[in-house]
Amino acid sequence: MNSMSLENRWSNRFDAREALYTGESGLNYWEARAGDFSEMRVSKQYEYGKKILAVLEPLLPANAWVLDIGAGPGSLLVPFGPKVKQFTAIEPAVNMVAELRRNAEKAGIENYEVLQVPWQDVDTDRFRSRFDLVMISITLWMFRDIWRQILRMEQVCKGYCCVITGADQDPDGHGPSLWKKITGDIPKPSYTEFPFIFNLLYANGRRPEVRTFSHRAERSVESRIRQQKLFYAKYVNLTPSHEAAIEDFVEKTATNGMVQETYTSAVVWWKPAL
Amino acid sequence: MTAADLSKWTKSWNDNMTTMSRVSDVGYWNKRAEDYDDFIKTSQFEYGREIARILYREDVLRPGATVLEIAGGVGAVTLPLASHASRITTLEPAKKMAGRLKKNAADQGISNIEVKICTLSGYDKGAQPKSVDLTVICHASWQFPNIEKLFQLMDRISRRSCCLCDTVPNILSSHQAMCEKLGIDTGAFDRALCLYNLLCETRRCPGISFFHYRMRRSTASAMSMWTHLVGKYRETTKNDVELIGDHVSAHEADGIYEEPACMAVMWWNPKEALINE
Repeated sequence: MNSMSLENRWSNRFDAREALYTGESGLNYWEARAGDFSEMRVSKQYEYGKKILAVLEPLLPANAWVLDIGAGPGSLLVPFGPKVKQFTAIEPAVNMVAELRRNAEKAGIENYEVLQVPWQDVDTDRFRSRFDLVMISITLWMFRDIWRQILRMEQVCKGYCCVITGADQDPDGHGPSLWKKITGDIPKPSYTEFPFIFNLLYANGRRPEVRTFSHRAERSVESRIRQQKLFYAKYVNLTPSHEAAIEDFVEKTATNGMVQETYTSAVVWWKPAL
Repeated sequence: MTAADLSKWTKSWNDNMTTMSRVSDVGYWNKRAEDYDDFIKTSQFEYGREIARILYREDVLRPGATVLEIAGGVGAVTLPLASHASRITTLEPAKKMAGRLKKNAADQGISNIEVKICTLSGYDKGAQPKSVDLTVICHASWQFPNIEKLFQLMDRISRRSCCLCDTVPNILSSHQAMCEKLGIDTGAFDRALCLYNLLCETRRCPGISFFHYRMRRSTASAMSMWTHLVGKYRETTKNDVELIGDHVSAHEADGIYEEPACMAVMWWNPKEALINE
């Protein structure tokens, strides 16, 4: 198993996914998802971000500078903010940034800056060896050129790099039966990054540490239905019957108007190559 | 990972470990007991102490835990674990290894270790499900070409955690180059990488940690190790002995042969769904 074959597999999978998209799947998709994504990440008192902090906090030096690539609604900013000197959030979606600022303000966090650009457009020379911790959470799958982006993470890092990724069999939480009902025979694309990312780092001489953890999220039925409709609209032109199937699927999983979800994630970190 | 990948890891393990488990039998380890004991004591139980430290740090090994160790050898991991655990049962089918383990425990005044001279399959027949907090196997998973069976046995016996450790190929080590020089194919197969992927693909969601250590042993122990290693594959020749002598001399200082090594420590919570009761 060498890096080139892994990188090819990754880019082929990326292309296969892109080829399936017929609806909005890029930045506008995440603009539309900002509200429900924020609700999920904030739920259970930021359980997702707090569990990641619990794993990574021993790595943080005093007065740490931290970079979060694909920061979303501040899932990591809010738990990490009080523990670090400066938090830099890279997030291209306007609505996500608005959610991030709102969540930071509610939490009283001010020691952060937002770069509202895609990570691929960031000039890494400007930030060379600046950050004690460089994190990317459930975002790597959006990059076709995975190894190049990992090397760019290493360029701006002077401490540890970290990838946080779903480790579930069905990491996106879209049941296979609903997928088939809506998309028919279209093969379900894979978004899974784990243990692929471990193997890629290992093949390149890194010896990444991995910790896995489970975390819960809660969101309203309306929020979950909206998220599911946006997800499926990437692949099909949703009909009233599709929408009814989604609503029925979500409502069956709800209790008292709320959907409870449990996920498993992996925190993968390593020291960049010198 | 696709279905093809899943079978790839399993097939790879089976292919590489079937021969390895056959040539590294109990008789071989009885012959290796003396030199292995020298290695562990000269290295001051370094890798075992580091494994115990990691398991303790990660809350895998809790104070007062009960532990089952599979293939305890001369006690390289057993003794360091014993200082954290309330009781350790260690299985070691090679009598001479087991004898060294008992002596090492006695020398250190450790009395919470029970040594059973048997294999895991021999022990498992009478083992109660969920009878210990932690099961550990270090440097011995190659005994199980059917690795899923090992995982399931560990899942079945453990209440709380399972741990598997193995050496990672180290580019700084001269081991592989020396094997090539001797013309023996010990395989450059990366067991730790394969094991980690096997644990992942069977949805055990393992954690993993790596550490570097030094393998230190007397020159006599190193000569014995290399000679026995060749003997696993063919008769040792005079030329082999010369090559081994040169190699050991090139890597020794003050009578101690030293090589860098790297260990992977993997752990997971027992997977209930896979238990075959």
